[in-house]
Amino acid sequence: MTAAPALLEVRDLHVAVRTAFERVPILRGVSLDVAPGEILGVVGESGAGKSMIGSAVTGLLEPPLVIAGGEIRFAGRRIDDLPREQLRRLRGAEIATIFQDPLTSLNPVFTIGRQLAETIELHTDLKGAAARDEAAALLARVGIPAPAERLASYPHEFSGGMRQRVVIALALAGRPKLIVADEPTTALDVSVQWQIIQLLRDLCEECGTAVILITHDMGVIAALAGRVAVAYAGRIVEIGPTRDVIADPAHPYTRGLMASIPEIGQRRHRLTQIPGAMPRPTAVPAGCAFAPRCPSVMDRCRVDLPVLAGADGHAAACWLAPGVPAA
Amino acid sequence: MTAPLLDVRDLHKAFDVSAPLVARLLSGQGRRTLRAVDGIDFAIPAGGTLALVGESGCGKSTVARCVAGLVPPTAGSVLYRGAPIAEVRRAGSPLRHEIQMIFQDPYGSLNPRWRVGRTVADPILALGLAPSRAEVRDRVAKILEDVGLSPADAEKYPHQFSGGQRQRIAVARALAAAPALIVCDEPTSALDVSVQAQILNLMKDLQAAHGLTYLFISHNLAVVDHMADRVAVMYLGRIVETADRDTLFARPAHPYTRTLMGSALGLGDVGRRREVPKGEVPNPIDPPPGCTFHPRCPHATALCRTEAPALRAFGGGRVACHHAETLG
Repeated sequence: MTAAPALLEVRDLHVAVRTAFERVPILRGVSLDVAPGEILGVVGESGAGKSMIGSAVTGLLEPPLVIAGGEIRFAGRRIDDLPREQLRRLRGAEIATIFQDPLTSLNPVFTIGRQLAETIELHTDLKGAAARDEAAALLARVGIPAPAERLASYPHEFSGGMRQRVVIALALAGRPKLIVADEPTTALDVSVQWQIIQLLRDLCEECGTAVILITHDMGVIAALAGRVAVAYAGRIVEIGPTRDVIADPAHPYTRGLMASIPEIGQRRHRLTQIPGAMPRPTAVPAGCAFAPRCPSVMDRCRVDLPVLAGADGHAAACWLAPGVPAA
Repeated sequence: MTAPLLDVRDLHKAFDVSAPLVARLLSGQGRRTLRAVDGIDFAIPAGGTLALVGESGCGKSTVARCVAGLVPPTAGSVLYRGAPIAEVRRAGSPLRHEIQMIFQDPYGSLNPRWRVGRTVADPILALGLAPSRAEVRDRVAKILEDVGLSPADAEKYPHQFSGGQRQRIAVARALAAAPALIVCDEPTSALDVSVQAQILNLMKDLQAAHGLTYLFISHNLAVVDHMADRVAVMYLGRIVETADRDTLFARPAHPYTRTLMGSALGLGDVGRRREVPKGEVPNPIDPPPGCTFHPRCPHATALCRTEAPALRAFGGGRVACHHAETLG
């Protein structure tokens, strides 16, 4: 793993839906680290729990969702059990979020300038005119033309790509150390997607901001993330440098996922398909959750839950992965 | 050469997006129209797959809806087996059932109160494709098996299925009508990639087994490369380039096609930087003059800003660019 002390440490995190009648586990023991300034991708299909990881880190879980176990540390300090008010202060100042739909992050009845200035005043020492200047500077940095004039515009007066730039400016306003970006480019056209990806990468490099990039799109991960964690049925089944995971996936699910992605210029008569579907949270089988769909399944997989193991920062939760001790 | 199954000629579709009359009178503004489809031609031979590819607002879904007879074109013609689409889609037409549609959202396109069996049996009964109840049941069971579901699934409701299985049900319903042409509007865009692979494989298998013709609408070039044998690239209501798949992907001629290909996210080049396309698709209500791509085009000249290029033969396909030759 990385030698630098981690900015964010997630240890054996469990998240569940708790109602009066039952408790359904959604995350079932997720562990990962994010180093300062790195971009960690979390990739998975719908229902894998990838967004839940982001919500837990940012303290945005609302009942009936609860943290049912494990811990989250930010800059060495435990944050999963903080009171709401302290968590709210941390969010925005040190941890910011970017969501798929920019309109959910922007207030439609206030100007962009007011929203930016408010965030800047809340989280930095800049006030009044200085905050407004900083707001214009942020808009310029995210590539919005005529930034000083655009401060007076409302969110609906921007195009989709420009709106997502405003959201990025808003996320950067508190000078956070970590940004949790949940599907930040999914709602955008492909030609605009690239603009936002390169913008995010450049800004995070400049500011030394770390990013947890949550997406279903392995292409976005390849373009942006230095490391990637693959989520399946509430667990991380593989984690490692993006280059290694793509070139040499160690978990059968990751292999199946990569092979099912059509690529331009790779003519295959049929795409590789993974039979079946991911189990619902209420019906996760014992042992390895991927066992019922796995082409290499063994008897042991249906009984024993494999844990992440590997070398050189590349680990997989599979009894057949290299570096895993035999039974 | 045999006549194509589907022949679309100079298709136009405009929508009136004017403000209400009183607001117009007060502001002194005239009517405004959005030319969603602005004169396009294409043909699909029986058994072929033509992909219409483009970004949001390019008019590809409007073309799909015109072809399926869901909206009447403003001008131009859509001919199916040589007959105008309005006639083909008229109630009682013997060809009506031959054109079916699959939508992006399998949640919204199935009746939640109907059991799957009823959804699939409905077109069979309506068309009188099976003479007895027992034969209808057999036919439904056979179709469900064809799309990778089990005959027992006929008793279930749509909410009991995952997104991918629901899309299989939508395919089953389309198949039940014994179609020749299926208009597929972003059929896998709402699905996870591993499920997308299942549906795309299924669609290819069914095409081979039943000789189906597809009009395949997508924004995803990799999916188009996998499915189509001919591709038309749309931008702001017009086709800017069309060619057979191999030619288009090997030698894209239009700067917009190149932009799209350069923006496609592949796994091959981790962390690679690339030439980022500038700008965004303009508002189709107020398209730029001349070539509508010129504000974003790195090669635009004075000519491009004033004169709209015609779609003309070039390099094995057709391209609407003044400078296709010099771009090489």
